[in-house]
Amino acid sequence: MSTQPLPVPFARAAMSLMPAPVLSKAIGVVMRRMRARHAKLFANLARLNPAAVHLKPTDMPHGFKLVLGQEPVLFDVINVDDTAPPSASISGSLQALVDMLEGRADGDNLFFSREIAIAGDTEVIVALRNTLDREEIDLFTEITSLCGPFAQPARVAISLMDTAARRLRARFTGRHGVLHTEVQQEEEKATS
Amino acid sequence: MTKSSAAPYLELVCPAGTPAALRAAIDAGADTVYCGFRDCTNARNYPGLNFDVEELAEGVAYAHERGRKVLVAINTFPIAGEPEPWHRAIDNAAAVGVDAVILADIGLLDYATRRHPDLRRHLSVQAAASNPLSIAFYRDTFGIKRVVLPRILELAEVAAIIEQIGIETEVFCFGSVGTMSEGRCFLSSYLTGLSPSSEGVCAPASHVAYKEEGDCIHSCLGGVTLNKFAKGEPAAYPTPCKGRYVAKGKASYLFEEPVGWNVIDILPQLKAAGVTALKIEGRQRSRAYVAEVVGTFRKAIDAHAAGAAEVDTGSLHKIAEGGKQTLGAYKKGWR
Repeated sequence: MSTQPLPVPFARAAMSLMPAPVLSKAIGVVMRRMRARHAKLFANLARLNPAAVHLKPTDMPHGFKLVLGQEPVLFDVINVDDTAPPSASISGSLQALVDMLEGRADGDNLFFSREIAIAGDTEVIVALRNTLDREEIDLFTEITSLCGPFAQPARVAISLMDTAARRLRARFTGRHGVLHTEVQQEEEKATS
Repeated sequence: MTKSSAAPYLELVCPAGTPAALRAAIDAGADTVYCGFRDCTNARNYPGLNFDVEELAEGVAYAHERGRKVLVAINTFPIAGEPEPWHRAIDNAAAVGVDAVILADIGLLDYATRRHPDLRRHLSVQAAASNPLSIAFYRDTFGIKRVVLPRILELAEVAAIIEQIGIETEVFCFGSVGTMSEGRCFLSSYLTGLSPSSEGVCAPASHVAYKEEGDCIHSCLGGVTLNKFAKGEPAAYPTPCKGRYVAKGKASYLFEEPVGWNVIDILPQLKAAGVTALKIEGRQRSRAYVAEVVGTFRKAIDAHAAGAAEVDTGSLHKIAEGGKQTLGAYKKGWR
Protein backbone atom coordinates (compact mmCIF):
# COMPACT_ATOMS: atom_id res chain seq x y z
CA MET A 1 0.00 0.00 0.00
CA SER A 2 1.41 3.39 -1.03
CA THR A 3 1.17 6.32 1.35
CA GLN A 4 2.47 8.69 -1.28
CA PRO A 5 0.29 11.79 -1.70
CA LEU A 6 -1.52 12.20 -4.98
CA PRO A 7 0.76 14.25 -7.28
CA VAL A 8 -1.66 17.13 -7.57
CA PRO A 9 0.09 19.21 -10.30
CA PHE A 10 0.08 16.16 -12.57
CA ALA A 11 -3.51 15.25 -11.67
CA ARG A 12 -4.65 18.83 -12.23
CA ALA A 13 -2.92 19.03 -15.62
CA ALA A 14 -4.29 15.66 -16.72
CA MET A 15 -7.87 16.35 -15.62
CA SER A 16 -7.84 19.88 -17.04
CA LEU A 17 -6.90 18.53 -20.46
CA MET A 18 -9.74 16.01 -20.48
CA PRO A 19 -13.11 16.95 -21.94
CA ALA A 20 -15.88 16.60 -19.34
CA PRO A 21 -17.37 13.37 -20.82
CA VAL A 22 -13.95 11.65 -20.80
CA LEU A 23 -13.22 12.80 -17.24
CA SER A 24 -16.68 11.59 -16.22
CA LYS A 25 -15.92 8.11 -17.58
CA ALA A 26 -12.55 8.03 -15.78
CA ILE A 27 -14.19 9.06 -12.51
CA GLY A 28 -16.77 6.30 -12.98
CA VAL A 29 -13.99 3.69 -13.17
CA VAL A 30 -12.24 5.03 -10.04
CA MET A 31 -15.54 5.24 -8.17
CA ARG A 32 -16.37 1.60 -8.91
CA ARG A 33 -13.06 0.60 -7.36
CA MET A 34 -13.49 2.89 -4.36
CA ARG A 35 -17.01 1.61 -3.67
CA ALA A 36 -15.60 -1.90 -3.43
CA ARG A 37 -12.60 -0.92 -1.27
CA HIS A 38 -14.39 1.58 1.00
CA ALA A 39 -17.83 0.01 1.40
CA LYS A 40 -18.26 1.41 4.93
CA LEU A 41 -17.52 4.96 3.77
CA PHE A 42 -20.10 4.75 0.99
CA ALA A 43 -22.66 3.21 3.34
CA ASN A 44 -22.09 6.12 5.74
CA LEU A 45 -22.39 8.68 2.92
CA ALA A 46 -25.62 7.01 1.76
CA ARG A 47 -27.03 7.27 5.31
CA LEU A 48 -26.58 11.06 5.44
CA ASN A 49 -29.50 13.35 4.70
CA PRO A 50 -30.10 13.70 0.93
CA ALA A 51 -28.00 16.56 -0.42
CA ALA A 52 -25.94 17.63 -3.44
CA VAL A 53 -22.53 19.14 -2.76
CA HIS A 54 -20.48 20.91 -5.39
CA LEU A 55 -16.69 20.76 -5.10
CA LYS A 56 -15.11 23.57 -7.07
CA PRO A 57 -11.33 23.52 -7.55
CA THR A 58 -10.46 27.14 -8.25
CA ASP A 59 -7.46 26.15 -10.39
CA MET A 60 -9.27 23.80 -12.75
CA PRO A 61 -11.82 24.17 -15.52
CA HIS A 62 -13.98 21.34 -14.13
CA GLY A 63 -16.12 21.20 -10.99
CA PHE A 64 -17.48 18.07 -9.32
CA LYS A 65 -20.78 17.09 -7.76
CA LEU A 66 -21.33 14.65 -4.93
CA VAL A 67 -24.86 13.43 -4.30
CA LEU A 68 -25.31 12.05 -0.77
CA GLY A 69 -28.11 10.28 1.08
CA GLN A 70 -28.90 7.88 -1.73
CA GLU A 71 -27.77 4.51 -2.97
CA PRO A 72 -25.49 4.61 -4.85
CA VAL A 73 -23.75 7.81 -3.78
CA LEU A 74 -22.88 9.73 -6.93
CA PHE A 75 -19.65 11.55 -7.74
CA ASP A 76 -19.23 13.09 -11.18
CA VAL A 77 -18.22 16.13 -13.18
CA ILE A 78 -20.64 19.06 -13.08
CA ASN A 79 -22.12 19.36 -16.56
CA VAL A 80 -24.27 21.91 -18.36
CA ASP A 81 -27.47 20.13 -17.30
CA ASP A 82 -26.69 20.65 -13.59
CA THR A 83 -28.61 23.88 -13.23
CA ALA A 84 -30.21 23.21 -9.84
CA PRO A 85 -28.38 24.99 -7.01
CA PRO A 86 -26.51 22.55 -4.74
CA SER A 87 -27.30 22.13 -1.05
CA ALA A 88 -23.76 23.30 -0.32
CA SER A 89 -20.48 23.97 -2.05
CA ILE A 90 -16.79 23.92 -1.15
CA SER A 91 -14.25 25.81 -3.24
CA GLY A 92 -10.48 25.98 -3.01
CA SER A 93 -7.36 24.82 -4.79
CA LEU A 94 -7.30 21.20 -5.91
CA GLN A 95 -4.37 20.66 -3.54
CA ALA A 96 -6.41 21.88 -0.55
CA LEU A 97 -9.42 19.73 -1.48
CA VAL A 98 -7.27 16.61 -2.00
CA ASP A 99 -5.33 17.19 1.23
CA MET A 100 -8.63 17.43 3.11
CA LEU A 101 -9.98 14.26 1.47
CA GLU A 102 -6.81 12.31 2.25
CA GLY A 103 -6.76 13.54 5.86
CA ARG A 104 -3.52 15.49 5.39
CA ALA A 105 -5.09 18.88 6.16
CA ASP A 106 -7.66 20.02 8.69
CA GLY A 107 -10.79 21.38 7.04
CA ASP A 108 -11.47 23.89 9.81
CA ASN A 109 -7.94 25.23 9.49
CA LEU A 110 -8.28 25.56 5.71
CA PHE A 111 -11.47 27.52 6.35
CA PHE A 112 -9.93 29.73 9.08
CA SER A 113 -7.02 30.58 6.76
CA ARG A 114 -9.47 31.25 3.90
CA GLU A 115 -7.84 28.58 1.71
CA ILE A 116 -11.26 27.07 1.19
CA ALA A 117 -14.63 28.77 1.12
CA ILE A 118 -17.94 27.15 1.92
CA ALA A 119 -21.47 28.16 1.01
CA GLY A 120 -24.96 26.79 1.57
CA ASP A 121 -26.08 24.32 4.22
CA THR A 122 -23.29 24.12 6.84
CA GLU A 123 -24.77 20.97 8.39
CA VAL A 124 -24.32 19.12 5.08
CA ILE A 125 -20.67 20.20 4.89
CA VAL A 126 -19.93 19.29 8.51
CA ALA A 127 -21.56 15.86 8.11
CA LEU A 128 -19.64 15.23 4.87
CA ARG A 129 -16.33 16.39 6.36
CA ASN A 130 -16.75 14.19 9.45
CA THR A 131 -17.85 11.17 7.42
CA LEU A 132 -14.87 11.45 5.05
CA ASP A 133 -12.47 11.94 7.96
CA ARG A 134 -13.51 8.55 9.40
CA GLU A 135 -11.95 6.80 6.41
CA GLU A 136 -8.28 6.56 5.52
CA ILE A 137 -8.19 7.24 1.76
CA ASP A 138 -5.08 7.06 -0.40
CA LEU A 139 -6.14 8.47 -3.76
CA PHE A 140 -2.84 7.79 -5.51
CA THR A 141 -3.04 4.10 -4.66
CA GLU A 142 -6.73 3.94 -5.59
CA ILE A 143 -6.05 5.37 -9.03
CA THR A 144 -2.81 3.61 -9.87
CA SER A 145 -4.12 0.26 -8.64
CA LEU A 146 -6.36 0.29 -11.69
CA CYS A 147 -3.21 -0.53 -13.69
CA GLY A 148 -3.16 -3.99 -12.05
CA PRO A 149 0.34 -5.52 -12.17
CA PHE A 150 1.67 -2.28 -13.61
CA ALA A 151 0.57 -0.20 -10.62
CA GLN A 152 4.06 0.29 -9.23
CA PRO A 153 5.65 1.32 -12.58
CA ALA A 154 2.65 3.64 -13.10
CA ARG A 155 3.31 5.31 -9.72
CA VAL A 156 6.99 5.82 -10.63
CA ALA A 157 6.13 7.19 -14.08
CA ILE A 158 3.48 9.58 -12.72
CA SER A 159 5.80 10.78 -9.96
CA LEU A 160 8.50 11.54 -12.56
CA MET A 161 6.00 13.42 -14.74
CA ASP A 162 4.77 15.30 -11.67
CA THR A 163 8.32 16.34 -10.78
CA ALA A 164 8.81 17.57 -14.34
CA ALA A 165 5.48 19.46 -14.20
CA ARG A 166 6.48 21.13 -10.91
CA ARG A 167 9.89 22.17 -12.31
CA LEU A 168 8.29 23.53 -15.46
CA ARG A 169 5.76 25.48 -13.41
CA ALA A 170 8.49 26.87 -11.11
CA ARG A 171 10.60 27.91 -14.11
CA PHE A 172 7.60 29.53 -15.80
CA THR A 173 6.65 31.36 -12.60
CA GLY A 174 10.24 32.57 -12.17
CA ARG A 175 10.49 33.84 -15.75
CA HIS A 176 7.11 35.47 -15.48
CA GLY A 177 8.29 37.27 -12.33
CA VAL A 178 11.47 38.50 -14.04
CA LEU A 179 9.53 39.73 -17.08
CA HIS A 180 6.99 41.43 -14.82
CA THR A 181 9.77 43.25 -12.92
CA GLU A 182 11.47 44.34 -16.16
CA VAL A 183 8.21 45.69 -17.59
CA GLN A 184 7.53 47.53 -14.34
CA GLN A 185 11.01 49.10 -14.39
CA GLU A 186 10.55 50.19 -18.00
CA GLU A 187 7.21 51.78 -17.12
CA GLU A 188 8.72 53.59 -14.14
CA LYS A 189 11.55 54.91 -16.32
CA ALA A 190 9.03 56.12 -18.89
CA THR A 191 6.95 58.00 -16.33
CA SER A 192 9.93 59.55 -14.45
CA MET B 1 8.77 8.56 23.76
CA THR B 2 7.04 8.67 27.13
CA LYS B 3 3.97 6.45 27.08
CA SER B 4 1.53 5.60 29.81
CA SER B 5 4.12 4.76 32.44
CA ALA B 6 3.21 4.85 36.15
CA ALA B 7 3.84 8.58 36.51
CA PRO B 8 4.39 10.43 33.25
CA TYR B 9 5.84 13.96 33.40
CA LEU B 10 2.41 15.18 32.27
CA GLU B 11 -0.21 12.77 30.91
CA LEU B 12 -1.30 13.80 27.40
CA VAL B 13 -5.07 13.43 26.95
CA CYS B 14 -6.12 13.77 23.32
CA PRO B 15 -9.40 14.16 21.43
CA ALA B 16 -10.89 11.68 18.98
CA GLY B 17 -14.05 12.47 17.05
CA THR B 18 -13.72 9.37 14.87
CA PRO B 19 -12.03 5.96 15.03
CA ALA B 20 -9.46 7.25 12.51
CA ALA B 21 -8.69 10.20 14.79
CA LEU B 22 -8.31 7.82 17.75
CA ARG B 23 -5.69 5.82 15.85
CA ALA B 24 -4.00 9.05 14.72
CA ALA B 25 -3.84 10.29 18.33
CA ILE B 26 -2.40 7.02 19.64
CA ASP B 27 0.12 6.80 16.79
CA ALA B 28 1.20 10.42 17.41
CA GLY B 29 1.93 9.71 21.07
CA ALA B 30 -1.22 10.25 23.12
CA ASP B 31 -1.12 8.66 26.57
CA THR B 32 -4.90 8.77 26.72
CA VAL B 33 -7.69 9.44 24.22
CA TYR B 34 -11.15 10.73 25.03
CA CYS B 35 -14.20 10.33 22.81
CA GLY B 36 -18.01 10.21 22.91
CA PHE B 37 -21.01 8.31 21.57
CA ARG B 38 -22.92 9.37 18.45
CA ASP B 39 -25.76 11.08 20.30
CA CYS B 40 -26.71 13.88 22.67
CA THR B 41 -24.83 12.35 25.61
CA ASN B 42 -21.63 14.25 24.84
CA ALA B 43 -20.78 17.89 24.30
CA ARG B 44 -19.59 17.47 20.69
CA ASN B 45 -22.77 16.14 19.12
CA TYR B 46 -22.03 17.04 15.48
CA PRO B 47 -23.37 15.15 12.45
CA GLY B 48 -21.07 12.37 11.26
CA LEU B 49 -18.93 12.58 14.39
CA ASN B 50 -18.33 10.22 17.33
CA PHE B 51 -18.47 6.47 17.98
CA ASP B 52 -21.00 3.70 18.06
CA VAL B 53 -20.49 0.93 20.63
CA GLU B 54 -18.70 -1.39 18.19
CA GLU B 55 -16.31 1.37 17.09
CA LEU B 56 -15.60 2.25 20.70
CA ALA B 57 -14.81 -1.38 21.54
CA GLU B 58 -12.37 -1.49 18.59
CA GLY B 59 -10.81 1.81 19.71
CA VAL B 60 -10.37 0.55 23.27
CA ALA B 61 -8.69 -2.60 21.96
CA TYR B 62 -6.37 -0.53 19.72
CA ALA B 63 -5.38 1.69 22.66
CA HIS B 64 -4.97 -1.07 25.23
CA GLU B 65 -2.82 -3.16 22.89
CA ARG B 66 -0.43 -0.20 22.89
CA GLY B 67 -0.60 0.49 26.61
CA ARG B 68 -2.77 3.61 26.28
CA LYS B 69 -6.09 4.56 27.82
CA VAL B 70 -9.54 5.57 26.52
CA LEU B 71 -11.94 7.86 28.37
CA VAL B 72 -15.55 8.44 27.35
CA ALA B 73 -17.17 11.82 27.76
CA ILE B 74 -20.82 11.53 28.83
CA ASN B 75 -20.82 15.12 29.84
CA THR B 76 -24.14 16.65 28.87
CA PHE B 77 -27.09 16.96 31.23
CA PRO B 78 -30.07 14.55 30.85
CA ILE B 79 -33.38 16.00 29.81
CA ALA B 80 -35.88 15.82 32.68
CA GLY B 81 -37.65 12.46 32.72
CA GLU B 82 -35.51 11.03 29.90
CA PRO B 83 -32.25 9.78 31.41
CA GLU B 84 -32.18 6.49 29.42
CA PRO B 85 -29.75 7.56 26.65
CA TRP B 86 -27.28 8.74 29.31
CA HIS B 87 -27.66 5.61 31.45
CA ARG B 88 -27.22 3.44 28.36
CA ALA B 89 -24.06 5.36 27.45
CA ILE B 90 -22.55 4.71 30.91
CA ASP B 91 -23.49 1.02 30.74
CA ASN B 92 -22.01 0.68 27.23
CA ALA B 93 -18.81 2.46 28.21
CA ALA B 94 -18.40 0.10 31.17
CA ALA B 95 -19.19 -2.94 29.01
CA VAL B 96 -16.44 -2.22 26.45
CA GLY B 97 -13.85 -1.67 29.18
CA VAL B 98 -13.05 2.04 28.96
CA ASP B 99 -10.58 3.36 31.52
CA ALA B 100 -12.88 6.08 32.87
CA VAL B 101 -16.04 8.02 32.15
CA ILE B 102 -16.09 11.83 32.18
CA LEU B 103 -19.33 13.00 33.78
CA ALA B 104 -20.85 16.33 34.79
CA ASP B 105 -24.40 15.68 35.97
CA ILE B 106 -24.96 14.77 39.63
CA GLY B 107 -27.64 12.22 38.76
CA LEU B 108 -25.34 10.46 36.28
CA LEU B 109 -22.48 10.49 38.75
CA ASP B 110 -24.81 8.83 41.24
CA TYR B 111 -25.95 6.26 38.65
CA ALA B 112 -22.36 5.40 37.67
CA THR B 113 -21.26 5.19 41.32
CA ARG B 114 -24.03 2.76 42.21
CA ARG B 115 -24.17 0.66 39.01
CA HIS B 116 -20.49 0.56 38.13
CA PRO B 117 -18.54 1.21 41.34
CA ASP B 118 -15.29 -0.05 39.80
CA LEU B 119 -15.55 2.24 36.76
CA ARG B 120 -13.23 5.20 37.28
CA ARG B 121 -15.05 8.54 37.24
CA HIS B 122 -13.64 11.89 36.14
CA LEU B 123 -15.44 15.18 36.65
CA SER B 124 -16.03 17.00 33.36
CA VAL B 125 -15.27 20.69 32.91
CA GLN B 126 -19.01 20.91 32.15
CA ALA B 127 -19.63 20.52 35.90
CA ALA B 128 -17.97 23.95 36.34
CA ALA B 129 -16.31 22.87 39.59
CA SER B 130 -13.82 25.67 40.07
CA ASN B 131 -13.07 25.79 43.79
CA PRO B 132 -11.87 23.29 46.45
CA LEU B 133 -15.25 23.05 48.23
CA SER B 134 -17.09 22.18 45.05
CA ILE B 135 -14.50 19.63 43.92
CA ALA B 136 -14.38 18.08 47.41
CA PHE B 137 -18.15 17.52 47.25
CA TYR B 138 -17.81 15.47 44.06
CA ARG B 139 -14.73 13.66 45.46
CA ASP B 140 -16.41 12.70 48.72
CA THR B 141 -19.88 11.95 47.34
CA PHE B 142 -19.08 10.20 44.05
CA GLY B 143 -15.46 9.15 44.47
CA ILE B 144 -14.18 11.06 41.46
CA LYS B 145 -10.49 10.48 40.84
CA ARG B 146 -9.80 13.43 38.55
CA VAL B 147 -11.27 16.88 37.90
CA VAL B 148 -11.02 18.77 34.62
CA LEU B 149 -10.51 22.39 35.60
CA PRO B 150 -12.21 25.23 33.72
CA ARG B 151 -10.25 27.65 31.54
CA ILE B 152 -11.06 30.66 33.70
CA LEU B 153 -8.51 30.01 36.45
CA GLU B 154 -5.13 31.67 36.85
CA LEU B 155 -2.08 29.47 37.37
CA ALA B 156 -1.82 30.42 41.07
CA GLU B 157 -5.48 29.44 41.53
CA VAL B 158 -4.85 26.08 39.85
CA ALA B 159 -1.93 25.44 42.21
CA ALA B 160 -3.99 26.45 45.25
CA ILE B 161 -6.85 24.11 44.27
CA ILE B 162 -4.49 21.19 43.66
CA GLU B 163 -2.95 21.67 47.10
CA GLN B 164 -6.34 21.27 48.76
CA ILE B 165 -8.24 18.60 46.83
CA GLY B 166 -6.02 15.52 46.95
CA ILE B 167 -7.12 14.12 43.56
CA GLU B 168 -5.73 14.33 40.03
CA THR B 169 -6.26 17.44 37.93
CA GLU B 170 -6.48 17.83 34.18
CA VAL B 171 -6.16 21.23 32.50
CA PHE B 172 -6.72 22.27 28.92
CA CYS B 173 -3.51 22.74 26.97
CA PHE B 174 -4.72 23.49 23.44
CA GLY B 175 -7.95 24.33 21.60
CA SER B 176 -10.84 26.66 22.15
CA VAL B 177 -10.85 29.33 24.80
CA GLY B 178 -13.78 28.75 27.16
CA THR B 179 -14.60 32.07 28.69
CA MET B 180 -17.99 31.21 30.11
CA SER B 181 -19.05 29.12 33.11
CA GLU B 182 -18.94 25.82 31.27
CA GLY B 183 -22.01 23.63 31.48
CA ARG B 184 -24.04 26.62 32.60
CA CYS B 185 -23.79 28.84 29.52
CA PHE B 186 -27.01 29.19 27.56
CA LEU B 187 -25.97 32.19 25.46
CA SER B 188 -26.34 30.30 22.16
CA SER B 189 -29.79 29.01 23.21
CA TYR B 190 -31.19 32.49 22.66
CA LEU B 191 -30.16 32.21 18.99
CA THR B 192 -30.80 28.54 18.29
CA GLY B 193 -33.54 27.43 20.67
CA LEU B 194 -31.32 24.44 21.51
CA SER B 195 -29.50 23.69 24.75
CA PRO B 196 -25.72 23.27 24.51
CA SER B 197 -25.76 21.54 27.89
CA SER B 198 -28.41 18.93 27.02
CA GLU B 199 -28.13 18.63 23.25
CA GLY B 200 -24.40 18.82 23.10
CA VAL B 201 -23.52 21.66 20.73
CA CYS B 202 -22.91 25.35 21.35
CA ALA B 203 -23.03 26.33 17.67
CA PRO B 204 -25.04 23.53 16.01
CA ALA B 205 -24.16 23.14 12.33
CA SER B 206 -27.86 23.23 11.45
CA HIS B 207 -27.96 26.84 12.66
CA VAL B 208 -24.60 28.01 11.31
CA ALA B 209 -24.29 29.90 8.03
CA TYR B 210 -21.36 31.58 6.31
CA LYS B 211 -22.37 34.22 3.80
CA GLU B 212 -20.04 35.88 1.34
CA GLU B 213 -20.50 39.58 0.64
CA GLY B 214 -17.84 40.80 -1.75
CA ASP B 215 -14.53 39.80 -0.20
CA CYS B 216 -16.05 39.56 3.28
CA ILE B 217 -17.49 36.55 5.07
CA HIS B 218 -20.35 36.97 7.50
CA SER B 219 -20.60 34.22 10.11
CA CYS B 220 -24.13 33.74 11.42
CA LEU B 221 -25.81 31.66 14.10
CA GLY B 222 -29.57 31.24 14.07
CA GLY B 223 -29.86 33.98 11.46
CA VAL B 224 -27.93 36.50 13.54
CA THR B 225 -24.61 37.81 12.23
CA LEU B 226 -21.96 37.35 14.92
CA ASN B 227 -18.89 38.39 12.97
CA LYS B 228 -17.67 39.78 9.66
CA PHE B 229 -14.22 38.91 8.35
CA ALA B 230 -12.51 41.18 5.84
CA LYS B 231 -10.45 39.87 2.93
CA GLY B 232 -7.40 38.00 4.23
CA GLU B 233 -8.57 38.12 7.86
CA PRO B 234 -8.63 34.64 9.48
CA ALA B 235 -12.18 33.33 9.86
CA ALA B 236 -13.67 31.65 12.95
CA TYR B 237 -16.65 29.72 14.28
CA PRO B 238 -19.81 31.72 15.01
CA THR B 239 -19.94 31.32 18.79
CA PRO B 240 -21.73 34.07 20.72
CA CYS B 241 -18.95 34.54 23.30
CA LYS B 242 -16.49 35.23 20.47
CA GLY B 243 -18.70 37.44 18.35
CA ARG B 244 -17.75 40.97 17.31
CA TYR B 245 -20.36 43.39 18.57
CA VAL B 246 -20.95 47.09 18.07
CA ALA B 247 -20.94 49.02 21.36
CA LYS B 248 -20.75 52.81 21.53
CA GLY B 249 -20.41 52.83 17.75
CA LYS B 250 -17.32 50.62 17.70
CA ALA B 251 -17.16 46.96 16.62
CA SER B 252 -15.02 44.87 18.96
CA TYR B 253 -14.77 41.56 20.76
CA LEU B 254 -16.61 42.29 23.99
CA PHE B 255 -16.10 38.88 25.64
CA GLU B 256 -13.27 37.07 23.85
CA GLU B 257 -11.79 37.11 20.37
CA PRO B 258 -11.46 34.01 18.15
CA VAL B 259 -8.11 32.72 19.31
CA GLY B 260 -6.61 29.35 20.17
CA TRP B 261 -5.67 28.30 23.71
CA ASN B 262 -2.06 27.08 23.83
CA VAL B 263 -0.04 26.51 27.01
CA ILE B 264 2.96 24.79 25.42
CA ASP B 265 5.24 27.59 26.66
CA ILE B 266 4.42 27.00 30.34
CA LEU B 267 4.51 23.22 30.70
CA PRO B 268 7.14 23.28 33.51
CA GLN B 269 5.01 25.77 35.47
CA LEU B 270 1.96 23.51 35.12
CA LYS B 271 4.02 20.53 36.24
CA ALA B 272 5.30 22.54 39.22
CA ALA B 273 1.73 23.48 40.12
CA GLY B 274 0.94 19.78 40.47
CA VAL B 275 -1.14 19.28 37.33
CA THR B 276 -1.53 15.58 36.40
CA ALA B 277 -2.74 15.71 32.82
CA LEU B 278 -3.00 18.02 29.82
CA LYS B 279 -6.14 17.95 27.71
CA ILE B 280 -6.18 18.87 24.03
CA GLU B 281 -9.59 20.17 22.97
CA GLY B 282 -11.03 19.47 19.52
CA ARG B 283 -13.05 16.31 18.99
CA GLN B 284 -14.81 18.24 16.23
CA ARG B 285 -11.53 18.74 14.37
CA SER B 286 -9.98 16.35 11.83
CA ARG B 287 -7.44 13.62 12.37
CA ALA B 288 -4.84 15.86 10.66
CA TYR B 289 -5.32 18.41 13.47
CA VAL B 290 -5.15 15.67 16.09
CA ALA B 291 -1.92 14.24 14.69
CA GLU B 292 -0.23 17.63 14.48
CA VAL B 293 -1.21 18.92 17.92
CA VAL B 294 -0.58 15.61 19.69
CA GLY B 295 2.79 15.16 17.98
CA THR B 296 3.91 18.67 18.91
CA PHE B 297 2.90 18.32 22.58
CA ARG B 298 4.38 14.80 22.75
CA LYS B 299 7.79 16.13 21.68
CA ALA B 300 7.62 19.08 24.08
CA ILE B 301 6.57 16.94 27.07
CA ASP B 302 9.27 14.36 26.35
CA ALA B 303 11.88 17.11 25.99
CA HIS B 304 10.94 18.59 29.38
CA ALA B 305 10.85 15.12 30.96
CA ALA B 306 14.38 14.53 29.65
CA GLY B 307 15.51 17.88 31.09
CA ALA B 308 16.22 19.48 27.72
CA ALA B 309 17.50 23.04 27.87
CA GLU B 310 15.65 24.07 24.74
CA VAL B 311 12.23 22.77 23.77
CA ASP B 312 10.66 23.04 20.34
CA THR B 313 7.18 24.46 20.87
CA GLY B 314 6.17 24.11 17.21
CA SER B 315 3.98 26.53 15.33
CA LEU B 316 0.51 25.50 16.41
CA HIS B 317 -0.90 29.02 16.07
CA LYS B 318 -1.26 28.20 12.37
CA ILE B 319 -4.02 25.70 13.10
CA ALA B 320 -5.64 27.63 15.95
CA GLU B 321 -9.01 29.30 15.55
CA GLY B 322 -8.43 32.80 14.24
CA GLY B 323 -4.79 31.93 13.45
CA LYS B 324 -3.71 33.29 16.85
CA GLN B 325 -2.97 31.80 20.24
CA THR B 326 -3.25 32.84 23.87
CA LEU B 327 -2.34 31.66 27.36
CA GLY B 328 -5.82 32.79 28.35
CA ALA B 329 -6.37 33.38 32.05
CA TYR B 330 -2.83 32.11 32.78
CA LYS B 331 -1.48 35.35 31.40
CA LYS B 332 -4.00 38.09 30.87
CA GLY B 333 -6.26 39.57 33.48
CA TRP B 334 -9.94 40.28 33.12
CA ARG B 335 -11.00 43.54 31.57
